[in-house]
Amino acid sequence: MRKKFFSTLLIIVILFIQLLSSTGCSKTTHIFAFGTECNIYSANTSEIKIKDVKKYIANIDALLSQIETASDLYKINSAKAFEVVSVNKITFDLLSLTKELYEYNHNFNPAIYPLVELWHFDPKTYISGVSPEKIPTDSEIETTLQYCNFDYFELNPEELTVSKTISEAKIDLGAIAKGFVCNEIFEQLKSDKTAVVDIGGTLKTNKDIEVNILNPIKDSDEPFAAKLKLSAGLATATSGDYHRFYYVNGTKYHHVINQDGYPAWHNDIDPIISVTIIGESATICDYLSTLIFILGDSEEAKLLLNNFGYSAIIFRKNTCSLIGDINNFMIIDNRYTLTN
Amino acid sequence: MNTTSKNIKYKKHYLTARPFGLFDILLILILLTISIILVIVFIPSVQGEFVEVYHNGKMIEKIDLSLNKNYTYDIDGEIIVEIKDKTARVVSNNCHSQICVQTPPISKVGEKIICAPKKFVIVVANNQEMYITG
Repeated sequence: MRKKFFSTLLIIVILFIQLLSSTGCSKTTHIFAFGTECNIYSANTSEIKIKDVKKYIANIDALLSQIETASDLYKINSAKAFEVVSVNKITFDLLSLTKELYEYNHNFNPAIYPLVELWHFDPKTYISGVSPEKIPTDSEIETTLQYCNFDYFELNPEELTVSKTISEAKIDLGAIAKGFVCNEIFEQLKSDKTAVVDIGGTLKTNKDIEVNILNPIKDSDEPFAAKLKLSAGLATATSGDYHRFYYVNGTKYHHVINQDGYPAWHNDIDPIISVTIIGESATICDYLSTLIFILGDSEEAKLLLNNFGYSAIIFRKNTCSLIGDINNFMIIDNRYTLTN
Repeated sequence: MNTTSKNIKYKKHYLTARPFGLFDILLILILLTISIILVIVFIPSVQGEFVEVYHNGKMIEKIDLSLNKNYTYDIDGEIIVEIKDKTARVVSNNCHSQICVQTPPISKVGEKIICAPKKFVIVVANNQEMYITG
């Protein structure tokens, strides 16, 4: 009788302690990677799993760095023509996906890096708040533009190798890497219904949350332009002109370079300043946010979003337009009026 | 024959024995204490900071609970939401059910007032865990 009682008591106490510890620990994990802040919210994931996730992020960050000479991306970009570079499986998977998305729409250019360097938006030379003395000349842009073609790259899936046909060609995975990592980590934490993965503003959630969209106009009183409800299982990503930019002679230049070799909407009277995409895959959200930033709210953009089944929120200086089915959306900063 | 005698023995036992032994009572008390603690720990009664106002499932406004003020919404007639001393209630609504007007003031996170005929809902929320895209 006494024995039975104590064993029952022991079981109850153990269960109780487990319940408390599982809900009380590891709510938010902050990691600095990909040149940005990453936050992982997960109330029911063990410390060990969180450690694995951290390791995974650090591993991909090291593979895709444009600065570290040991990284896969650095090896590819600094390779000579026809030099065979063997890469990690993760890098190769990301490159294959990049190729697929590039073939789907050539306005997404993963080989734009020589131009990014020419415009000084690469992480090696870009310093926030510092403007270069002059912008590249038209002839420099024209010359560099020739190198910016993803067709120069050859992927060998059997050997997991990459080679290129001209030495100058360089890859920039900035448009989809964050989304890719976000998706991968989300898959690892999927069993936790409280998990939210935030890789530098590219989010995927396992519960219904409210997401604030950063105000692209920084001197506004409102830090957020708008907010939206993101249902469980959905992802969102934003591209804006306010992450990497500088002013030369009063003109703003930003890091989203279009197919003519100039920052997208350069010289436009009412340029697009921010694009937020909502959909199932964080990778596709990330990809489409850059692509729609370049395409604008054209018919092509609408068709593209419709094909994927994704929706977009586009901000200009005074207006905000929505493409697709967006519910539970609210403008916070009243400078933006909703248009169609 | 054997089973019958067993039954008699059992019957006698359950008629004479006390319904609960000392340890049974102790166990029940411990379980009760644990469940009370769990209820206190896991049903948070956090004072809210905002009231989210929804119509047809879409949020139309987020109002601050710390400012005493009345908010008027025109949804098939007037709905007035009153914010007073960090609580919110519906003071007037021309709907036929009037359930919302009779609901006591709400102030804790998750508490709601619902007007079903007009598909109008107010929910108390706070600003924990802010998610940002950009």
